[in-house]
Amino acid sequence: MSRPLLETVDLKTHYGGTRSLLSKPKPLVRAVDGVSLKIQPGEVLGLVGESGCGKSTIAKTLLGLERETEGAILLDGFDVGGRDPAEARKVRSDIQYVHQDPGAALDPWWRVGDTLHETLKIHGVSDRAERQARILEMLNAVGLNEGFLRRYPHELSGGQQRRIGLARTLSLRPRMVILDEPTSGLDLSVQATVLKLMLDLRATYDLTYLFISHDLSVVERLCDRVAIMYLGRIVEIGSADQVFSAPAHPYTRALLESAPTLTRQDSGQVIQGDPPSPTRRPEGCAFHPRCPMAQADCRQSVPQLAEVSDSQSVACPYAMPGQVRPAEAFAS
Amino acid sequence: MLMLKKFLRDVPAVLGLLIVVIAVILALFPGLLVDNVDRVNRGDILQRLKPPSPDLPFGSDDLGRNIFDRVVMGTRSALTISTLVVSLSMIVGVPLGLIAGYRSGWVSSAIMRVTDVFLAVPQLILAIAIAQILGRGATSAMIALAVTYWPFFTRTVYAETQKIRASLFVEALEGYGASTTRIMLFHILPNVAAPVIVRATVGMGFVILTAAVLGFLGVGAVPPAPDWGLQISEGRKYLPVHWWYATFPGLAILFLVLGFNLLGDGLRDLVDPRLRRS
Repeated sequence: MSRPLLETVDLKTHYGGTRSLLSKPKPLVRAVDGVSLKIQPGEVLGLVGESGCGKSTIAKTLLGLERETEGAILLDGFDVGGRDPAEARKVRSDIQYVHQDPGAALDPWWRVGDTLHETLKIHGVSDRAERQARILEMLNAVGLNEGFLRRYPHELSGGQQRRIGLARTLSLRPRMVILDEPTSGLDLSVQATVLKLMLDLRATYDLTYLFISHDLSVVERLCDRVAIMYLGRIVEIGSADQVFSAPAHPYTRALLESAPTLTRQDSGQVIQGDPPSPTRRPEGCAFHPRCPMAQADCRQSVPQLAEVSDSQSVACPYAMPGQVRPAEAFAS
Repeated sequence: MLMLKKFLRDVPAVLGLLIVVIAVILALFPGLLVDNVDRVNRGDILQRLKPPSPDLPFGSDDLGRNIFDRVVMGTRSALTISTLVVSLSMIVGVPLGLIAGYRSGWVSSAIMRVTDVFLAVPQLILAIAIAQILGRGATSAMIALAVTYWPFFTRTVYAETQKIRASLFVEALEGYGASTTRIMLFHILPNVAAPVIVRATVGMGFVILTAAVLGFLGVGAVPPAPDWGLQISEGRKYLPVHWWYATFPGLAILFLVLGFNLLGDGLRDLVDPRLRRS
């Protein structure tokens, strides 16, 4: 295997937990609690999990907007972790981010063209002609024309806003792009064209994607590998084929079970209970209170990721890769 | 263009704008209506306390001065004071509000608590106290009013900044690595401009009124300046027989304050970004 473009080693980002003189003590939130990931150049890694499981915090930490509490971030093998936000953004300018709602990510008072120029200006491209050239190239790449530069954000449709968001980020010539819920709020036909555009752009510009989503069907279509997160930890990671056809972790199975499909008649098995608050993480395996196959020792020890096949690792000692809906696992 | 059309359909706002524009023209060129601008403080004692007539449209005062001329000349002093006070308050209030709204933690708390202290003291009383300490005169009245008015700008800007700070486009700019100064100056400031302009317009009316009160109470302008508050104060002694002495400066205050308030309300309806998007 080649050297990973981005690697995190036991990354932890915790919030709060400090006491200060004037304010109330804030509870400690372990938003990201020991994540080790390797992202190979050119691949699309999907990051899937329920709301509040730490997906967005991972993105912010990788970008440098949040400072990691522990662990290392390696970009191209170089340690780029443990820096102040401003410095971290500079060192990691190869990693860029496409916002969940690129329309709201544009200043409503600024024309789209001015926003695109500014983004480049922030990154030190001071020559106006060069900026203009880069912007036009990007607009072309995302299938828009020069006329859009003069528009205001509210004059764009949802799909156009995504395209502008992509152009804005790609104009910085990143090597890795974090896509945060890139298709939420789009109707299916627009979603399909945007996804296709993303794959085309990846091919054209040799990009690596970290694809954050909870839409399993989109992840299955787009991603090479998938990581499933639960409460700040990765519970299963593997090639998309493997994870979707033979999920091993009970949480992954439950997720796939509960995903609505067009062909299935009955509604799938739904995961019991709400995800626990990250301030009050259950002892041992965080999933055990909701797990249908929990054993006594699940309460005591935190399971580590272990390989179950060549392209799949699972953090559950009782996990068995298998088809979705194995009757014995969910018999109740 | 669309904005202009929308504004012109708002009759009270247009009326307010008209009053303000007329007042500004009169303040800049009082010669349009006053025959001899330099003689506005000189009276003819034989002509004292004459009722309104074609010659003296607003009558004359106890020193035989033409009240019409003095009311017109008062526009200049009223607008000068209010413009200076509002600009001074904005210079102090807007940056403080921006910083307090953008930063969190003790900086923000400290600024806002100080603001609260100023807001907690009744403005007029604070202004009178400050004007008393500084001594009588238009300058001390202006300083006193600016000291009492900046917290309103801080409050307005603070609230708006906090709202915009939480919006996605600021988060996105931070994600792209934009500096705090850039975000505050180029993105938050234009977005808070609308409420600030509205606040300033309404503030002009408020300051004119308060400056007149200070003049009336004898802590503002000094005689023989043609200040409206001062004129009412002097004319009060001749009520109700010589009613014109206090009435016309009073009406001038009423109309100009009304004009600014109508204009301010109209602008608020116009520039509110929530209405703009629809």
